[in-house]
Amino acid sequence: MSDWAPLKGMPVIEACQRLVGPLAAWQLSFLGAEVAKVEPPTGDVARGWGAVFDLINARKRCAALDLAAPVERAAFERLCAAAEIVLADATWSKEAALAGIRLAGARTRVVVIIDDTATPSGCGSSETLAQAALAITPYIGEQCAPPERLGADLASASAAATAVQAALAGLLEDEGAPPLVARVAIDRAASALKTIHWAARSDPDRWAGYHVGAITRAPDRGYRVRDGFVTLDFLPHQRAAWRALCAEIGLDEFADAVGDDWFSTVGMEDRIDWARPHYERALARFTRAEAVMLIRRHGGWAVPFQSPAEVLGHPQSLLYASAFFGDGQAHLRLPWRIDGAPQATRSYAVAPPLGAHTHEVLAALPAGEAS
Amino acid sequence: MSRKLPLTGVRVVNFGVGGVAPFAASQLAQLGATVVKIEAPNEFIMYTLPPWRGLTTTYAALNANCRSVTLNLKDDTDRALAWRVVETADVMLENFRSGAIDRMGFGFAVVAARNPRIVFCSSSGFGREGEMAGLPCTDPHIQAFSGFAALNGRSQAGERVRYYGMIDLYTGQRICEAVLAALIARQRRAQPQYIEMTMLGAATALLLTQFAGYLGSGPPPTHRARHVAPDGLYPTADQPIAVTVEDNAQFCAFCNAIGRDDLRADSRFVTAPARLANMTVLDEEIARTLATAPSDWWLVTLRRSGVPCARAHHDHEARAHVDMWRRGNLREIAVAGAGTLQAAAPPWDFEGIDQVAGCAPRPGQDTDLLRRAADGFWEAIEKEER
Repeated sequence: MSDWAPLKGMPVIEACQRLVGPLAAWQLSFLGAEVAKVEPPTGDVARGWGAVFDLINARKRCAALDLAAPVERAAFERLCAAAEIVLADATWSKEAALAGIRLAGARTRVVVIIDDTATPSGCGSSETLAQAALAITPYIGEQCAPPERLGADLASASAAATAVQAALAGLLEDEGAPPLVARVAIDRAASALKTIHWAARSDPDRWAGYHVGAITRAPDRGYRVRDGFVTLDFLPHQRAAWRALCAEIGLDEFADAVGDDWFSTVGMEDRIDWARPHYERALARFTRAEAVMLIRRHGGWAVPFQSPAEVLGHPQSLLYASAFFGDGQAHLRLPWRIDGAPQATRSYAVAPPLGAHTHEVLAALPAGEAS
Repeated sequence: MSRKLPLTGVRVVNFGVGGVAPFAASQLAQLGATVVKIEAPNEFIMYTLPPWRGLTTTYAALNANCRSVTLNLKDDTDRALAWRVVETADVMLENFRSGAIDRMGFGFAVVAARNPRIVFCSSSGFGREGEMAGLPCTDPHIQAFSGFAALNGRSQAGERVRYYGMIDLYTGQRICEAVLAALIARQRRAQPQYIEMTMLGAATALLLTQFAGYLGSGPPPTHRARHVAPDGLYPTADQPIAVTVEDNAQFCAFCNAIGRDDLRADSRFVTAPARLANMTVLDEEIARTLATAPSDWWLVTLRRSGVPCARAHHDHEARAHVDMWRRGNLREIAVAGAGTLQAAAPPWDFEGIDQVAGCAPRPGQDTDLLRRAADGFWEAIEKEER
């Protein structure tokens, strides 16, 4: 196990709500930072969201301060001045955080203002609104059915990653430099994940990118086998391997019919919807595990479609996933290894109650600043 | 004079191909680092996609603000040139299949021996150990394997997002984060840093917020996974809109705005947990009401009531929306001799610091410079970029 912690002991103030800021602070805590979460007296709105709040706010010290009350706002400003990293909410805590880092003697090196309250064309923001406004939602579902929200909190996770990047970049500036003030936003971060498509459709009437036409296809569940679905891919130079697979599963006639155009029938190419029934008929007798091994034996690329329970219990997840079940309990860790060793894990824990550490957090201010 | 971007002076060499490592490198470049991509003459992103003015739009978007040299690493002269770049870099990225970079002679051990300051990041699908070590993996594979697909769509079977590449790029974002953290670690303890990123690690990190309930002893998430309800896309009389109701106060405002005060009095919907538990029937009620008026009507009405809402755009609508440009979500990047492309802007604004101008390299555009002046290569590039 590696206990790599480049931010070990570094004080961080997180005064954010919902997913983005709290998730960013949680990621900083895995790098060793000591996070104090400051909430309004009514609490982070995500306190009503169940387990997700616990997961990303466990092991933070939780303080509650009313920034409309002068004494408590002054205390918050001093907390920000004493922290090396401040994550602030664009609407609730930004002004006080920026005032804090300008106090005499402030040791703050970077402030990240997190805007998760606006969306192009919209009112307010959320994961769903960001996905919709940024045109992520048309890429699932039936072609003529209403668009769907992706299950993953993709925009929020991307925005949290950009917030952490900004915080770490600020720490790489020369010591003594004025604090770096960064702004990130949930819609901007979602846009970053679509840069391939923005470029491919610079001319909206011409698709100059990859996987041409994927938006027009049927829902992509890979290939149905006896107990679920699997993927099926070959590379363009693997025609002989693909042909051998076809022979083994009784698709000689199909293979002869598609001929030189074989590659268009696999992976993400443009005839997969047409070809799918052929492959599915041939693979129907296999389980996912059998089909995957069969395809791989012929040099193809295959993995099973898995449920969350399956991936969290998979042997490969025990080695590399950010979350997994081992020894009967949930484990959490960084998504990367250092020096070849897995990072130390944490168990799942519940978040502290609202304001549980208010006095402790304020008492930890440097001498002469706590009053 | 504008303050410098925070990574100004950091030198990054990217051996990566495709999406993951190049996007990570591009993010580092947009934070101010000087990034050189060392690529083979047949980088597949250039030759398996529709050509665009002598390169591909994907290559341009993913390598924004990087430089490119084309080298044949089986040729001794070119290998020596590559080493000149590697030996003087702060960061090296690669995302070949596990172990391939070792066989190429540029693995971590040999690089660290010649450049003990290096922050070295390898990225692969499933890592170097275990039953899946070395297996190939791209975005659609990890969508299937990680449970990402299981959370999408209208059926239990789930489905992959047919915009392939977002987990690739999220993995790139986490590589960028890991490299920044390792540069900080190097400041504190002068030794080489070896990061091993996997798409499995990144994808499961991306899904943590939806896996939370299951990790905390609840039921596993399904394709209907949400944190609150109502939260989704709803048809109207013309186009769908997105609505998210975060708490009880917003739910009251929402019910009032759509003329359905009966819903807030309904015992199935009075608390947030009750709304989540009865999400399907609540969504049906809302959809029936929203279908009675067009999207413009609802967006104005909901905005007036402070209920979070937005249009569900198609690509061309999002691209054309004034807020996309006003909020800095898009920018033009220039490609030498080929005009401009639209692409994502850097995801950060730094107060008092100008963003780097958007540009993209042509493959091999800096090869001659390296061959002419290998000793002063980094300095020459940095001078051009100032």
